[in-house]
Formats: sequence, structure tokens, C-alpha cells
Amino acid sequence: MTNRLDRREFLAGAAGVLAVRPQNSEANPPVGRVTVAPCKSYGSELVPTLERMFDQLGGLGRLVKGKTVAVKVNFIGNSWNRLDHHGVEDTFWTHPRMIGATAHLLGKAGARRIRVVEGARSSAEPLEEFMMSVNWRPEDIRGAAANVGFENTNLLGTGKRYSRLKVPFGGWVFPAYDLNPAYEDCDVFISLAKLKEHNGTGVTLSMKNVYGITPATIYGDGAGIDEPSLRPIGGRGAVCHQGKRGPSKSAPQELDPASPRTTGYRVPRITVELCAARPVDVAIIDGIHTVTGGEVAPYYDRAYSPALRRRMFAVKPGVLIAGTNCVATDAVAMAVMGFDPMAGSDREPFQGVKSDSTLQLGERAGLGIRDPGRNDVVGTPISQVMFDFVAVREKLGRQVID
Amino acid sequence: MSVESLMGDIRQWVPMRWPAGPLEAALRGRAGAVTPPDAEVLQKWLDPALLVSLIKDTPVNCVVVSWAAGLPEDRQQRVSLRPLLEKARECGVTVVGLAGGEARPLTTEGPAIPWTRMADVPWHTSSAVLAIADGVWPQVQTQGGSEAAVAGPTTLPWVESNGALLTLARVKARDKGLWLAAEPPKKPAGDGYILAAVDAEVHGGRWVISLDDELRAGLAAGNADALTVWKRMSGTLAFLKRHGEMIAYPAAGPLALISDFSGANEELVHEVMNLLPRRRLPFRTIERSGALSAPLDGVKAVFFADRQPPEAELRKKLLGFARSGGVLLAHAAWPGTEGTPVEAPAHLAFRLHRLGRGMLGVARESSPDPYELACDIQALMGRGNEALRLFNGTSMNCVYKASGDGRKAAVHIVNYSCKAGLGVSLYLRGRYRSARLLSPPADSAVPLQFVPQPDRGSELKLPPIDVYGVVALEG
Repeated sequence: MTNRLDRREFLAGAAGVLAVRPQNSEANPPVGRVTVAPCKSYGSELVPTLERMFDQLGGLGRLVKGKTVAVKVNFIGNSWNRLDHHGVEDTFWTHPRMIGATAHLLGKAGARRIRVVEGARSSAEPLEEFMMSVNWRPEDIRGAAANVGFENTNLLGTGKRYSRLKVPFGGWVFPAYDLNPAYEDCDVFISLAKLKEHNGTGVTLSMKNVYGITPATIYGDGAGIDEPSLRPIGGRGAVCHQGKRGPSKSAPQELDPASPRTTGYRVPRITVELCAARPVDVAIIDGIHTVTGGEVAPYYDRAYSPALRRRMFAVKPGVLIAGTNCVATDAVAMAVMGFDPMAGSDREPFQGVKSDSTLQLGERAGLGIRDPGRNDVVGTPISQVMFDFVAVREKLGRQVID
Repeated sequence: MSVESLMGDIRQWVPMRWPAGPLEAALRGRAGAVTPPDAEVLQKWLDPALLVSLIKDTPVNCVVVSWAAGLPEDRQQRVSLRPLLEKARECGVTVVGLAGGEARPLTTEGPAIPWTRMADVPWHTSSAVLAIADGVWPQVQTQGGSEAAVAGPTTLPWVESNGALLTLARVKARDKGLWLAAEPPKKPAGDGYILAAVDAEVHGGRWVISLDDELRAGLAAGNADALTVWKRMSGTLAFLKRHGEMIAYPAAGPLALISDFSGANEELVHEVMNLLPRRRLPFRTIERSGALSAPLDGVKAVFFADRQPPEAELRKKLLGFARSGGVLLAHAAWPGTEGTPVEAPAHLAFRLHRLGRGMLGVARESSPDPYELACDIQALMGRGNEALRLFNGTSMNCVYKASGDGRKAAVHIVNYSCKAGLGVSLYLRGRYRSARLLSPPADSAVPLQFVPQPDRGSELKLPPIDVYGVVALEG
């Protein structure tokens, strides 16, 4: 039996979302404003749609004018891994036009400096080169506004020393993180994520996108033991997902080495810690084109098991979600995906992958409210843009012939 | 027969190891590796009829037998092999006898072929063919009996290939035939034989066909499965022969490696050549002694790998290449510093200097990590200068070659997992009019459509490739 909301139950909830606008208070987690809009393509409709959404959030200008803005995009996995012949931008990665449109609007709103930031897997290359390795033209993004730059934050890069950002509530796994200074040297932090399911944590949205700010030179499989390595080697599996080894000793170590060594326990907690240490000012989720069933293509061809081929499909939900609070935004995104954002680890999408809910933990940490009914959700009603990931992949999965 | 024509012939030989007779049994017995059934198979392979039935209508035209090992069985071996030798001569098949460190034709005139480990190959011998005895069995390295691939530093599966070794040998013996001995493991995957042949051939060598005991037993018994494996393999050999033109094209690509490829320089450059294909970075080799006159047309980056500084004229040429916009990367022993120093990230293996419109990078360490070198060569050359990219196909390597006039090119794609990868796309920077995929054994080509990419390159969606396919490009 699944714990997902059925359609009728869901639509009733969605209607309620728009009706309730709770008061914010110092004593409670912040209420987030979230906007939802249909957007069928990355073509000419994208910029006006996104601009309208930002206006609905109160306008970008008040937030970014004269400021340095870091835009954390999602370039998960190796650049050569794809789902079949689909480009990474149409499945796993934030689309370059989405990045360009965001940069353009940030520039238009008066941002002084815009830095596109992401940790390129197992690569010490400049981020522009990494983007070129998937046939993109980074100059199109650079040209979208004045003062657009790029930083591969999987290593120290152009920084002089790593920045230590503390987890304000003390943390569950780590008390603080050593990060590329781009995450400290910004006035505004934007998580520009992709609307995806996740094999380890149920969903990966604007919060989980922040998990990727950890540099592999410290938190990677091949990180230096005592000091950060100069180059990032491998992913974050050994240190962060499974806790098989610690980060470089120069960085803050685990609070409780006896805590569970499972992805479903660690990754949601680390994600929340990072979102607390480096708060997300604006969360944007690219759901125009994406993928069902997982967050990244299998690394090796032979890992394309029949089970995966029945789960992972390139799809076009045609939706954008943006908000001023990452928990609230992800909650709405979950609802758009056909999941109940109030679900805990005993319900899907978390139960099947044996994971805690990142949103629930985020709420517990005081980062935001996941109940859409207690947030300020504007724009297109969720019911009109809902794209039921499970139903879609199950339908498409039945059509797969081995 | 003139020496020249003989040399021409000998390079066309397609050799096959033919373990048979009492000497072979004695050699295996001494190694503790012969069972009664094995001995029976060695006896059966003395049958001239088996020779005829197996190699008839295949490109195999040379068989290699154990001939002398300084053992009492040497004499008996010669007697036992006599009918086989006579039948071979009748069929126009050359039999080559292995004796010590060389292989000598027994059924035709011809010089001995040195048969040694790579480290001992006499590169300047007069023989038109050299045999390298220590090839590896090409495959994806797996973890202890499982199907899980071992990841290398590239994060791609670790691939065992003879590509770098043969490329190195090809530089040292540019005009000679190169035979490669690589023994199969017990019960290799059926297509492992195809892979062994292809891996050698596309890198300029020729695998000395060698079948495992079980397959040889099956072939001797007329087993249908064994015959199927053999037919697929021999069909591939025929395909390679028919399309030899595309294999013979010179290596192309925007990166040139300049070295003497020997002595203290050999290890580093060998390992870099091993790793560059895993970065999907095709390269051409230029032997240092010929570098002064070698054209650098289409070259975007040069890696001068030697510890010994270049001669004055060569240095001048390479600096000129950099000043005109190229990327010149050099060993730490590069003399002097030219240009304006550029602040480079600490992780970079090279110190950088701006030089005219280009760049000079001098390695920070005299014994750098080859993987880091390969990564940084790619990064400094610039992704925008890459000739090709491969998406998915993680167990595959590409060998990029182009005809002398540049009008035709071929991308040889070798799949070391021997299992068809899904959704493999080949990106090409260059512009071509047509693209076709040819895969053995058939000659029918699959036309491929160019899909334009944002960066003005194009992609080809490749059908599944089990072991080998060649993308034939016409400009």
C-alpha cells in the first residue's frame, strides 16, 4: 500500500493551500512565500514567466540590488553520463537557459556581481570548461548580465582559504563545514535546483541541491586525510553518504561517530545543516524538463539494470517553482510532484528508499514550514500544474520491453 | 624474392598461435599446467585437417608453433609437426616456429622475428616484424569475480588495453609489423577474442590469435558453440582486413605528444598515453628526432614530455607554436622561462606563462602524476578545442584517425565490456558531410544523422556497439 495522497485528497489540500496565509512570528519557523507557474519550454516564455514569479515574491530588486549573488546550480554526476541520448540539461542538470534567464533577471534587478557556483564532479576544471564538456556555451550565460562569473566550488579554486560556516543549531552530523569561500562571500544565496526524485533521499529539490556545496577536496572519497587535497576526487559517498571515513582533519569532524551510517539518515541531516549554515535566500526549481525515478544517470553502462530502465524517464512537467524559503518551496514542489510534503520516513517518497524527510528535518531545525497550508503560496494553483511522478514513471515503465 | 617484397608480405601475415605436439605438452607439463584432456587436445591440434577446416576462408595465413626449447621433446616435435607443416605449405599458410626469443618461418623463406617482452624489443633489427610477448588481455577490470567494474582515477571503469603499449611501439618502429601476444584467461567471454583482435589492430598492432584450452577442445570436437565463437572472431578479422584503409589512417587530434619515447622518458609518456583515451582526448605522437620537420597543422596543444631539453631549433619552433596561439606544455626540465608568468591555481601541474597569443606551461614536478598531467593537458588545451566527446559508453575508448588530406576520418570505438552500452552519443567538433557506422562482421553501414549542438559541434546517436564499430566520416 502506498501512502501517497490520492488525487482527490491532494486536490482538496491544494485548494486549502491558497486559502490559508498564516502569520509569521519570531517564535515560529519563518513563513515562506512560494510561487508556481506553468512554463512549457526554455524558449521565449521563460524570462517573462520567471520575472513574473519574482515579482510575485516581492521583486528581486529589494533582495539583490547592489549585492553579490551566488547561484548554486545542479550539475550532479559526471559530465559524460546521460540518460540514454538525452542531454543532461533535459534530465539531471539545471538547464543553461534557466541559469541564463536567472542571471539576466538578477542583472536587471541591479545585482552587482553574479557568481554561478557548483562543484564539478571529480574535476578541478573551471566551471565554464565543465559546462563546455557537455556542449554548452557558457558565454551565453556570461552574456546574460554584467559581471557574471563562475566558480567550481568542489575545490578551493580562486579562493585563498576555505570558509568555515557553523551550523547555528549545533548540527546532528557535523557542527560546521569548510566550504569554498564563494558561499560566504555572497550577500544573497540562490539555490537553482531541478525537480527530481532521489534514490537515496526520496526527492532532491532546492534544499538537497545545497548538499553539493561541500568541496570534494575535504568531503570527497579521495579527500586529503589531514589537509584538503588540491583536487577533488570522486563523489561524497564515503564521507557524507555512508560515513565510512571522515572529512580532512583540518575540517570539523563528526559529532557522533556512532550515529547511523546510512544515506537515509545522514544525507537529509547534512543537507539541513548546510541549509542552516548557508541559508538559501531564494529557491528556484526547474521543472520544465526533468527525469523520473532518480537524480542522476548510472555511472556505468552496465548499471542500467532493467529495474532502472523501468524507473528513469526524461519527462516534461513544464513547471517552475520559486520561493523565499527553501523548506516551503520544496514542500510545494513535492506537492507538484504528487507527493505529500507532510510525509515522514514511513511514507513515500521516503519509505521506499528508507530515508528521513529532509523537509521534516528542516522544519525541526527551524528553517521553515513544510505544510503548504501554513505558507504563502501564490501563482498558478498546484492542481493545475501537478505532474505525478510515480504515476508517470509507472505508466512509462509498463511500456518498457526488455 | 626481394627483401622489400618479403617485408611487404610479412606485414600482411595474420598469425595464430597453434599449440600442438609433444613439445607444447612438455612445456606445459613443466609449468604444471597440463591435464590429460589438455594433452589430448594438443594431440588433436596436430591434425592437418583441423588446420584446413578452421582457417579456410579466414584471413589467418600464419600459424605459430612451439619449435625448440632446448628440451628432449624438441626432436619429437619436429617429427610430429611434419604433416601439419606439409599441409600448411600446400595451403599457402606460413608456419612460424618459436624457439627461444625468436620466431622463425618454417614453411617459407624469411628472417627470424624477435619475440620478446616490450622492454627487450630490438627496435632496430632488420626484421620487418617484431613480436611483443607481454600484452595484456583487454577487458574492463572487475572486482574479484563480480561484474562490478573497478573505477580508475578517471571515475570511468578501469580498462585493460594494449593501446598505449602499441602506440609506443609504433613510434619506435614506425614501419614494422607489430605482433602482440596476449593470452586469454580461462573461459574468456566469447567476444573477448574479438576485443583482443580489435584492440591491437586499431592501435597499429596485430594480435597473435590465441584460443583458450576449452575453446580449442571445442573446435577440435566440432562443437557448435565453439565454432560460432570462432566464426564471429574470424569474421571480425575479415572485416578488419577489408577496412584496413581506415585503420591505417594516421592518428589525428588536437594534441601532439613529443618525446623520444625511451629511457627515462618512456614511463611517464606511456602512462599519459594510457590515460588520455579515458579523458576522450585523441592525440598524435611525434618522435622527437623528427619533430623539427613534423607539421603541427590542426594541433592546439603540444606536450613536450622529455627530461632532456629540446635542441635549439626545436625549442624555437615550439615557442613559435605557442606565440601564435598554441598551448605548449613541457616537462619540468624545460630550460628558461619565456613570457609573462600567470598566476595559476595551486592544484595545476604546470606553472603558466603567457606567450604571445598562446601559453607555455612548465610542469612543477619532474615526476608528476600522469593522471593529473592528463587532466591538466585537457583543461589547458581547452574543452573548446576537443575533437570529440563520448557520452555514456563508459567502458569504451575512441581512436580518432584521419586520412592524409583530411577529407576522411574514422573514429574507431572499442567497447571493453563487450556488452552493448545504451544511449551512446559521439560528439564531433569538426564538420563532416556524412557519417556511417560500420560494425563487424557485416559490411552494411548504418547512416548516422548529425544533431547540431549549442557549441556548433554536432552529435551522432550511436546504435548499440557490442565490441567494435567504426564511424566513417567524410568531409
